[in-house]
Amino acid sequence: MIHKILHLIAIFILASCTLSNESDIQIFSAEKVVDLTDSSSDICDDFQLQESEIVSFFQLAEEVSNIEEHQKSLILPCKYEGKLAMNKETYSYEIFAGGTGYIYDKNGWVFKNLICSNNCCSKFSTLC
Amino acid sequence: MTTITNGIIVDSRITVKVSSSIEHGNINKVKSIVLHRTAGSSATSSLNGYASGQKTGAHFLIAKDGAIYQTASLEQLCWHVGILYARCAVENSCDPKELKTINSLLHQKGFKFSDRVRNVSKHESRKAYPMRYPSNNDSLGIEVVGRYNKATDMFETPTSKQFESVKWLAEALIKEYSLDLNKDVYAHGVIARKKEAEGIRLLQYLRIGVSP
Repeated sequence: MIHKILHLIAIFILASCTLSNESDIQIFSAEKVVDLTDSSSDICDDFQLQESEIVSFFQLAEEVSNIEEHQKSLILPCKYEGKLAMNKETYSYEIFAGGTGYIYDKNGWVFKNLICSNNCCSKFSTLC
Repeated sequence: MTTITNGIIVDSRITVKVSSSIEHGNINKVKSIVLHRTAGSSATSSLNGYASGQKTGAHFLIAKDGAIYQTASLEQLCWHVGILYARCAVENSCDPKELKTINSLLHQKGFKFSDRVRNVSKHESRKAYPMRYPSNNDSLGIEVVGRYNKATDMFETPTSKQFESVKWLAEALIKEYSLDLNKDVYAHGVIARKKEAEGIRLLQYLRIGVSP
């Protein structure tokens, strides 16, 4: 009996985690964009994100205010951009090499500023 | 009549709200001006940030209604520039040896992107202006309130009051420090690793004289 309960709890937790992830962030598209007009754009060769890493970025990066974003953001000549769904709303996003990211509303205004540093960076192989 | 006393502009158009948290020691000779956008929607949010101990900021803040706040002494340096581009690389004017040095810093194995571009910026800071872009040590910063919009890839169009104020302030500073508008005034997004559009419209307005 105890074994069955534990099993059910395990299934519930697993289902909850999966459901939570899928309902919070769903990536619709992801495209790597490199600004070739930037003289340092060849550093972008090292920058590769899988879809699972894009989801992880939005889960692990710290949300910061506009003021903090203005201080801490680092815009490198390469990014991933696309569309995502979050809490049943569609947004566009950008994730720059170095760990700065944004979620934009349908009108293009910043909805969330995100910075991935130190502990967050350590979870990714090529983001930072 | 505008006067400057102990690093503070004395003029009815300026409200002094100096925050010591954004002042970081004596500035060297002022050689340039950098135009910024706050990315926020109000002057209050920036002023509150300064008042709460934020360390980065610029010497002036221009609100949407055109109000000009002096937020740091002209005799103090502020951390407003960030990580600089290599100027000669941007302008295709590096000699081969210098270009090799910059590229080796950009491609250092085992270093994070942020460390590599930071090392380039440190390398740049050892050069004399104008061989490099402005640094915190020799430039004044003007923040103009306005948000970024991805759909247009621009910051909000400054209000006509903001354009008027930035023009008046920039002209006063250019005169005070004998600067050249076409050589010594910069948009932040052009010189540092920030959104490219930051400050561009302001600079266009100052140079062309009309709202772009």
